[in-house]
This record gives sequence, structure tokens and C-alpha cells, in this order.
Amino acid sequence: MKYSKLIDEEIITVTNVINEILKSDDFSQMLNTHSLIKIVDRRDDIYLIEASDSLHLSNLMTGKSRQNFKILAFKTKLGFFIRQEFRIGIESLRFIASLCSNPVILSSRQEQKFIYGKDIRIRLDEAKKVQENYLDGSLILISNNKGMPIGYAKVFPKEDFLQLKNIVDIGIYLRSEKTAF
Amino acid sequence: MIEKTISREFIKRWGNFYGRNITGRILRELGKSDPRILAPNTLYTSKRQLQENLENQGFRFATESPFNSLILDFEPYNIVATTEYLSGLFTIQSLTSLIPSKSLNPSHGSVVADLAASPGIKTCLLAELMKNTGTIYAIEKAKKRIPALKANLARMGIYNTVILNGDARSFPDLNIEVDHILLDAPCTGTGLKLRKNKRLERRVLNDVNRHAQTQREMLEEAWKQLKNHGTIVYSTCSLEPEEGEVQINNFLARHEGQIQVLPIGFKTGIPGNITRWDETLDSQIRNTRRIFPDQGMDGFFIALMEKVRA
Repeated sequence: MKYSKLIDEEIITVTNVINEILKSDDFSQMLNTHSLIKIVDRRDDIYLIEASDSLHLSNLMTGKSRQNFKILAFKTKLGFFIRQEFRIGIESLRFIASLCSNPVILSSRQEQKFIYGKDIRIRLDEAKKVQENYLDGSLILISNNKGMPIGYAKVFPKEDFLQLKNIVDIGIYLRSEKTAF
Repeated sequence: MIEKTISREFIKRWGNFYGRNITGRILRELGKSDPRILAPNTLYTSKRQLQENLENQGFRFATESPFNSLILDFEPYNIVATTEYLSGLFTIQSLTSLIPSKSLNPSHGSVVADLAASPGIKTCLLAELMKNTGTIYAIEKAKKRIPALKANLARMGIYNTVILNGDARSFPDLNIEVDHILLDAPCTGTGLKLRKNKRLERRVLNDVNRHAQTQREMLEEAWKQLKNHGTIVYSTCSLEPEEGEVQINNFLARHEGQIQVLPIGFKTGIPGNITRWDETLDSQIRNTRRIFPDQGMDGFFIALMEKVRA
């Protein structure tokens, strides 16, 4: 297990994905005071850390620390890389929700279906404004009608409806608590 | 019935330590089941808001509950299937689990170590008290307990925690000085209600000494990394004095003049006992708390200590 800073290409990839969800460049701004690191284990997990955390991390990665302890998580996990592709992680949900002002909001019925891991359709008249804002295949944050973030989806605008393809949702804590983390 | 489940050795010991009446009560309570206790995640909701949301779905709660918790009276379906649970608005735990973190009460921005962290319920509560600032080192030795720790921290939206897999007795190797330490130590678990503690049937007296030795080593190593005027909470869910009052008494003796045992800010339970054992213990033990199994409570011991001199 080792950690490293991200190369420029990787930073751009992560930033693009998160800015796409936020529909702003807030995350790019955040990187003025924070940095992205990669902890390499089963896969490359990406974390957002503050400048002051760098010293803690260096301590953990040297000498006996490294021999006796394995770092499994370091504060804000954003997601992970698989074959050069950045995938958003469920761990980032509350963090992204605190920055995102335009989630797609589902009804109670749609919410239940979504947290069972299903893709859903939203009728066009319900989501007309949404369709106007989102490009085909763009990543979006999904909330329920009480304002709780419940997952991420890719949006595909169709003629009469929006198709939301479930990427990850909070039902994962029930479905695969022991294997997903 | 319950007397058949628990080793006679333990019942005899409790009789000697706590007296007949209390032992009778312990045996009665250990056999009862607890209601589900919900602890709202104050980072993202309030008790009132959570209660209102869940009551609208048919859940009912007791009218009074301590420690800002909710005691579940009726659930129309399993509460872990609610969006509120899945989006981390509450944890389910026993009332006693709330006491160590609340007693430690870490300040915002501080550096904290949780030395036996899984499944992470107490770690979450620490993070809530710190408003998700500062740094918590959550250390867990058992690999098979890590997924639950990671899942709970993720579900609860905790972003100030570093999860480390390793033995807390090697904590000084991390070369980090901390402001607060939570040591909810591995123990025999003789205070846990039987429904969630199948281990008690297999417990023998040797386990008490084995665990007491591990706890002693963990306490000593933790102490080395605590800053001056830093605080440490030591707790176990055991009814055995070797894992409670006697453990702390010996710790005080090894570090004479360096430790002040601070009063716990909760009235639950009774002060740690200093006279009923064979020897008379340090008078500071009166500031610790001994909690017996009760409604919603497991048997528990807790001590809050400050490092007054290095």
C-alpha cells in the first residue's frame, strides 16, 4: 500500500466529474486550499485533504508506522479510479450535497425504486427544467423530497421523459455493507 | 433459567463483589431484551426533526429518553430500511454506548484517537461533537470488523477520520500526540445483555485476566501519546472489577501524581466502588462510574482521566 499525489491528468479527470455534478467550478476553487491524494490498495482510492493533513499523512507513511498500520481511509473519500476512469464513491455523498445547489429531486415512490438500485424515469413535465440544464449522460446528484441526498445517476433526456441511470445509491449500505467497503 | 447460561464462577464473583441483591438484579436484567435506541446524527438533523419524519412513517417513540436519544416503542417495519437510516441521520446503539464519547467531549479542531474503533458508532459521535473538524484516528485491529467501520463512517457523512488497521498497542509508532483518547477496550463483555452476547456462555475466569492484561498494555501505550492536559476515556462493557475499578487503580499507582480522575458528567449508575473489594482502592476511583444492566443499558464501567503531569 502506498500513497501519492495525483498527476495533472488525473486531477483534471476528478475535477471535471465533480464540477459536472455541481454545475459550477466550486471544486476547482477548492483545490487552491486542498489537494487530492491517491491511496493505492485494491484500487486507487481518491481523497481530498487539507494542506495541514499532509504532515499527518507523511508521518503515517514512514518508519514503524508503515510497518504496523495500514491506512484504509483518509478523511474525505471522493471515489476511485478504474482503468483510468474516475468513479464517484457513495462516501462523497454528504460532502458533494453540501456544495451542490441543484440536485434532481425524486418523489417518495421514485425514491424507493432508486434506493433499490433501479434506474428510473421522470416524466418530462415534472423535469422540464432539469432537462434543459443537463447534457446527455451527465452525472447528477439525486435527492429525495425531504432534501436528503440518496445517490448519483447519469441523466439521459428522452422525448417525453428523463431516463436516470442509477450509478450508486444509499441502498448499498443494506445490500452490500460487508463487501462494498 | 439465565443462571444456567452464565458460568457459576461469574455469578459467585458478582455475589461477592456486588452483594446478593445487585447480583439478582443483574441476572434478571441480563436476560431481558432492550428496545432499539436511536442517536440522531446532529451534523445533519435534530432529534425533533428526525422524530417527526419517522413518526410520519408510523414509528412510535417513548415520551422520555436520556442523552438526546430516541427510544423506539413501535416499528411498522425494520427501521434500518428507512431512507433516514440509510442516509445517516441516526445510529442504533445501546444507551451506554453514548456515554464514553459524550464524556470525552472533544473540542472542535482537536486531534483524537479512538483505539478500538469498530463498528464506529462511538467514532461517529466523536465526529459529531467535533462538528466534523480536526482529526480522529480510528484504529481497529480486527480486519473482519473494518467493513462495518468504513460503512458506518461513510453512511453518517463523517469526513474528519483516518481509519487505520493495526494493533493499538503499537500506537506510539504513529508518532502522533493527541488531545483526547477514547479507549473502549476489548473486554469479556460480561455486562452485555445475553441476546447480543452469545460469548458470555463460553466465558471462563481466565478470560478476565487475559483481557485485563491487554487493557493494561493498551492504556500504557495510549498514555505515552496523550498531550499534557489531554484527556482519556477508558471504558469496558464488563462487570469485572479487574477490567474496571482495579484496572484504573493500578494505572493510577503506576503513574502517581500524573493523573487526575475527573467526574463523569452523567448521573447514570453509581460511583466506582473503592471499599467492597479485598483491598481499598485509590479515592479518585469514586469519580469513575459503574453502571449495571438496566432498561436500555448494558453493564458498563467508565473513567475519564486528565494527564496533569507528563
